[in-house]
Amino acid sequence: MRLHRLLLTVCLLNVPAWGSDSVVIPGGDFQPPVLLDREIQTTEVEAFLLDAAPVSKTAFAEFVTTHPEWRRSAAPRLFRDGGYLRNWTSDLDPGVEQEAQGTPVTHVSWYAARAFCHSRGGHLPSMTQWEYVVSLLREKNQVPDDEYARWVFGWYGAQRPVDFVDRALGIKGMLGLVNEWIEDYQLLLSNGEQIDFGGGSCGDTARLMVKYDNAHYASFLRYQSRSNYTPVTTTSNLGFRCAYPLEGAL
Amino acid sequence: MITVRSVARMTGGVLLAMFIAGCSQTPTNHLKDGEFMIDGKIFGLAEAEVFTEDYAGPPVVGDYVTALPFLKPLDYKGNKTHEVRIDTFSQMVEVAPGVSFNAWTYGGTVPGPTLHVREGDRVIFTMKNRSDEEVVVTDPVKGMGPFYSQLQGNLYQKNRPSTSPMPHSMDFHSGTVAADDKWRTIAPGETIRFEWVANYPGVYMYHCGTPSVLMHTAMGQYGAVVVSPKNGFPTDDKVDHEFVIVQSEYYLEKAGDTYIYNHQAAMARDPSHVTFNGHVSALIDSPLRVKEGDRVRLYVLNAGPSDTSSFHVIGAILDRVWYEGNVENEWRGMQTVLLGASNSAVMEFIVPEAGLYKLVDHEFADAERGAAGTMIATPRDR
Amino acid sequence: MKIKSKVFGLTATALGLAFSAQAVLAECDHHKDHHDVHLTEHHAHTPVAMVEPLSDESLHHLPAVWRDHRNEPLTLSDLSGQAVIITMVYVGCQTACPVLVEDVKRLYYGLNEAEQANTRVLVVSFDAKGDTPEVLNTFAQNLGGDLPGWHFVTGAEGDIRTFSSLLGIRYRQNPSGGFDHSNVIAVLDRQGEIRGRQEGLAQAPDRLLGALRGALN
Ligand SMILES: [Cu+2]
Repeated sequence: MRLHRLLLTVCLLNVPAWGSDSVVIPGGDFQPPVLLDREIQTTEVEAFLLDAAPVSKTAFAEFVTTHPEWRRSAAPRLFRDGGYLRNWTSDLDPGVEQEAQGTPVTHVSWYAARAFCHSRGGHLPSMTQWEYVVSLLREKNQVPDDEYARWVFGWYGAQRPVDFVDRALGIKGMLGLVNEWIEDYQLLLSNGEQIDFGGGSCGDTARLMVKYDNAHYASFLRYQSRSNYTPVTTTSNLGFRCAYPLEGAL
Repeated sequence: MITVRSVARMTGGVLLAMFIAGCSQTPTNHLKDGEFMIDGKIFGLAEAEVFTEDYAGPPVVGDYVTALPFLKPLDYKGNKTHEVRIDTFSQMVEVAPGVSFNAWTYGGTVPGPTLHVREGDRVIFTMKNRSDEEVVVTDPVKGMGPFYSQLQGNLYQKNRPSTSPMPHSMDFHSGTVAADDKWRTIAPGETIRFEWVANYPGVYMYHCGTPSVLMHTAMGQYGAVVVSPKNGFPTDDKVDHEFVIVQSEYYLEKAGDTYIYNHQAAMARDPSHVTFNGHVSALIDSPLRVKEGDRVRLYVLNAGPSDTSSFHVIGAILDRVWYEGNVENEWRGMQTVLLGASNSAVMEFIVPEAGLYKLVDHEFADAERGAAGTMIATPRDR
Repeated sequence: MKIKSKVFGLTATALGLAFSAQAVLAECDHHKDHHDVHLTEHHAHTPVAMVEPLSDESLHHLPAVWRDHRNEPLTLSDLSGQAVIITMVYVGCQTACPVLVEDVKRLYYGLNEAEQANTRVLVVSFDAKGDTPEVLNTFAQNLGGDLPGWHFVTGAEGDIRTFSSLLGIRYRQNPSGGFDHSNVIAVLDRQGEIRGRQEGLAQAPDRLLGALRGALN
């Protein structure tokens, strides 16, 4: 369900400037595919708004135009690594002439992604929100579990873009277009009395699995790989999209 | 200053430039600050450093780092400190005719380079996660050790650069350290540096330990370290040839023009290919060449990730076997050596006569998926 | 688990060169502490100077406005020119957090009075909702931390996450409402760069004390 018109009205009321194509994610129950606690939890997710597509290079160029502190030449290394906006032809020019307008921005750090969303009155989706949407996409488009697993492994293993069109929510990407930053991407697990970041424990998988099938291994790979970024990490396949609270919009 | 996790970001800088070159005939037991010794072995090594650097040089650096099946002889006496760099990055590699996949590699090959040191040596290891860079390994590199000339002399994996940004780590089985420190995972763009001391002799596996460790190893992140015993093997002066063989499995399925990793097959231990030195034809297109009567020493590692190997030389009996490559573990007259995942052995045999010999994993389901190689023996001078 | 770190920012040339050129340095004459050599170099080019622009790695870049247990606003750049001891806790935490505050006190009291006068203490709460300035005030009093130059602060949820990520502190609200978190004490120098960082509870203060003295020099 698209919200173009509704949102236009809302924008006039000067509530945050969401991209004109945000999507309402209906509330519901979510069972995380990875065990972050000793018990299997079901979380109730409230409805929220989510960008239909990852933030584009063009949109990010507008952002750095109005927020000079986030230009490549200005953003302190505290907030990004050396690859930040690499391949841009200048501070303000992502060099997208030859590319489609909607090309997702990549080479952005977590800090930069958060600043962008903040400037739009939103925030990075939480891990629960983001993963909940993935579960909705799978469910509503009736993606077979093994097919989903093949997408995820193909994407992480070989950067194979996933040829999937969501006909239920109107979401682009999320699986096999770019990886996406989320607010609380770092896992935190316990080993006896020690806190483990779930970062590099070889073979430390089974205790985190809800179910030992292909699809759960695929989701686990995503949780785990994402958790190993540092907040300043920038890569050629790491972008983001923003989420917004629903109240205020409706 | 100290930054967090990503320690010093170097603005094009040298960090800890003061590496230590080994002094020949130096006694091993140089303890650095904070280290301690038990039974002549060194423990309590300094914490790993993680930082970012603008390094775009050769991804493999080291005088005793070689491409398979070669092993660089230790041409120094006593102990030495080795500075070794093995970066991790993606590469298209061929594992069988017409079967290529986007591998996660150390140094651009699967298995990665072989490091040779002596018991008691110290290794200062550096690894940059360059998985987001296209790293070319087929261009000439000067003065960085034997690896590139050997690799480029026989590009049987048809190595081509590719990118696949992923977090990775390095776990040397030859090191005795706290894994949560030294073997920790680094993000694309980060570099890790740590030391380990070769406290025990053996033929060891190294691999990526980042979850899913099954996927990271099956994607190609492993290789061998040979730690030769302090006083050598009793046959050292009789050996005519030394070769390194690493056995491993691939779990690939066709997807479009290339192949991708199949997790389901990996979980089911149903490999698409089982190889010696990373390609079903590696040791067939380039056979090991010896003479009748030669004493041949093989350093054999089964990297897995999940399968066993029953290593056998058709037509020969293994005169001596040092299980795990430790001179204390000697066996005689073996027909087959069973190696679990990450087990190894040093195996020696006498070439009985001129002819063609096959090296196989005598688990024939593995041999028929590629775990076979050739050795050609020519007549000796009589 | 460790996010250890201890390399000091150095300036120099390409690493590749370092490998070949410096490798010649033999170590026969025992081990010099090369780290120290570099430390000195580092100090040499960063004299304390207030007029200098913010360094690339300074936490003073963080614009967040905190509110302390005296209900006063505070931003990190207010602390410019002073060394800062930092830890993160939450009031509902029964076990680790009082120990962390105790560790910070031990560190602080390891300084002489003049050094204390140039040192601030920042205790940041994970619990944006529960730990109001009033709650933090009681907490500070109970733990003997309501001292001059000490700030038990709260802030916006997003700022707390930013702050923790800058220090490599991970946390997560668990289903029972508490926070799982790593136990870290960090030291900032006068320019706001991290000069020392320690993980774990009840550790000997020597290393951080050294970092703190270095930061104050
Ligand atoms: Cu890996």
